[in-house]
Amino acid sequence: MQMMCNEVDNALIVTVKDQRIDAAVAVRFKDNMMELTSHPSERVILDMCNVEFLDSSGLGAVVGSMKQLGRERKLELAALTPAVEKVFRITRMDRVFNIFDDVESALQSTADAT
Amino acid sequence: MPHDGGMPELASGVIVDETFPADFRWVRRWLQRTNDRLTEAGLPSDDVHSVEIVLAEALNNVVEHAYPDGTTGDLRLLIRQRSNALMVEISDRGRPMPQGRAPLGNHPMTEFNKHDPMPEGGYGWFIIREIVRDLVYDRREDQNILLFRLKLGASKSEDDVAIGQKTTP
Repeated sequence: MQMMCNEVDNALIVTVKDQRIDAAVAVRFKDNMMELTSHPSERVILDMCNVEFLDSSGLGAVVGSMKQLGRERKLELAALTPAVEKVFRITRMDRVFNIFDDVESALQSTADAT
Repeated sequence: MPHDGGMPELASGVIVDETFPADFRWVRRWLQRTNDRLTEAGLPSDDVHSVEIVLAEALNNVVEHAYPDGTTGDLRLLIRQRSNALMVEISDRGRPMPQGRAPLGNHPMTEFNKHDPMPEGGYGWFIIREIVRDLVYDRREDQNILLFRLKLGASKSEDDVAIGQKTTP
């Protein structure tokens, strides 16, 4: 489960390089997120542009990663591909996360934040 | 298979009939092959996604629950196309489903649990129940058999109503 991260302003951008976040790799995803996000930042933006598929295990791992961040930090999602977006929509978990078309939109959104 | 302009009228036939070990790697392999075959047959990508989403949940269930830790076994995936639907049959020789029934698949957040207000599990059967029709679980001799129907071309449905807007600048 390959992921990389970089920091822009107050945001940690975590880019998943694997094409699938599924039952085979969900635990590793969550463990990697725990490690990467130990680096402090107000926001964590998960760039999902490479992820073509996510199942319920992957969804659970994303939810778990959000919980790992604690109350003070937000996990936001960017660039959901159609099958992934479908899973979030069907489970209504698209209402739980801020979801952006891409990382740039996510970063720009702080400029208009209330 | 014949391919005309809009929604293709696929001939009735077998799309997949494979028996393979119940492990994640084999499941991934057959999910991908099923995608390829459906795409080649002209199925719209939205339907291909729905199929993959449901199959992943049902097949992973077999991998995770049918055979106890330390043991393994096979599963059989049979997908037939019948006019505007796919008929799916997943069978294995593992343990029966608890209470001899397929889970109801209520949304994990249906009942608020103050100890776990944001559950990480339980979405799989909810997803299956949302997408498929006519799901039946049967236990015959030493086999589990899960049957369901996937209606094709139903992509523009109620859940496209905008209730959770994506944020755009």
